Amino acid sequence: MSPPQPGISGADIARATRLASGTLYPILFRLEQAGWVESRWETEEPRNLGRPRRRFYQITGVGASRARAAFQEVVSFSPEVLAWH
Amino acid sequence: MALIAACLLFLVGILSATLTGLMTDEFKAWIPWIIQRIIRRSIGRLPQTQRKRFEEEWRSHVNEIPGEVGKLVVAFGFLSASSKMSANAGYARIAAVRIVKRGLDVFLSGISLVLLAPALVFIALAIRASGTGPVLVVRERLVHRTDSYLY
Repeated sequence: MSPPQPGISGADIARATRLASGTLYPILFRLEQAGWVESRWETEEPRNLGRPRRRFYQITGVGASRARAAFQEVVSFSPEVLAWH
Repeated sequence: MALIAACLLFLVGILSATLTGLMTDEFKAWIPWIIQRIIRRSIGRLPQTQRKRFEEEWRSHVNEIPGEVGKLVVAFGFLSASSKMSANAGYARIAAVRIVKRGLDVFLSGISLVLLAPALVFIALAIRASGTGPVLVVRERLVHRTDSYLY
């Protein structure tokens, strides 16, 4: 039995967001450097797994509140502002 | 005559079918190798400190993709991901180069000013001794773009 994994892998995020790997990893990399997300290796040793370890991403407290604030800001825009495209 | 043609057609059909099969097998066999090469090349573009991490992470990502073609597509994505991720590092490098350049400018010109100061003083005295005019030239100059005067 392995303990529950912290977060989801890049491959999972790519599937969920439908982002291509070439778009996703630069974003994750920047978010991580900005402290919005954090990541850690799968706990099992690669030797025991027989494959490279996955890296699991998790949103941080700061990241969650910043993301929520950014979302609120977009929601608060008037329709005219949002109609620019 | 018709029999010979039929036999020939049959042979060509079998031959091309085998060849296509062989080619497909060959291509399939090469895909993992191609993927490894692409990942290695992508890793090489990353900043030194990030290489080990993304090498393992990206290998495991490819591992999670079921089909061979899908793996190949994802691997090509890493290529563009790494060039974007190293672009940030590139800007930092350019900024560092600018700072070093500016530092060298100030340092070298400062040193040469100090070293040349005696010679400059001597030249000033020589000019003063040689005639009546002032040592420093003051002249109006029109600066084209701003139309302001500069001395």
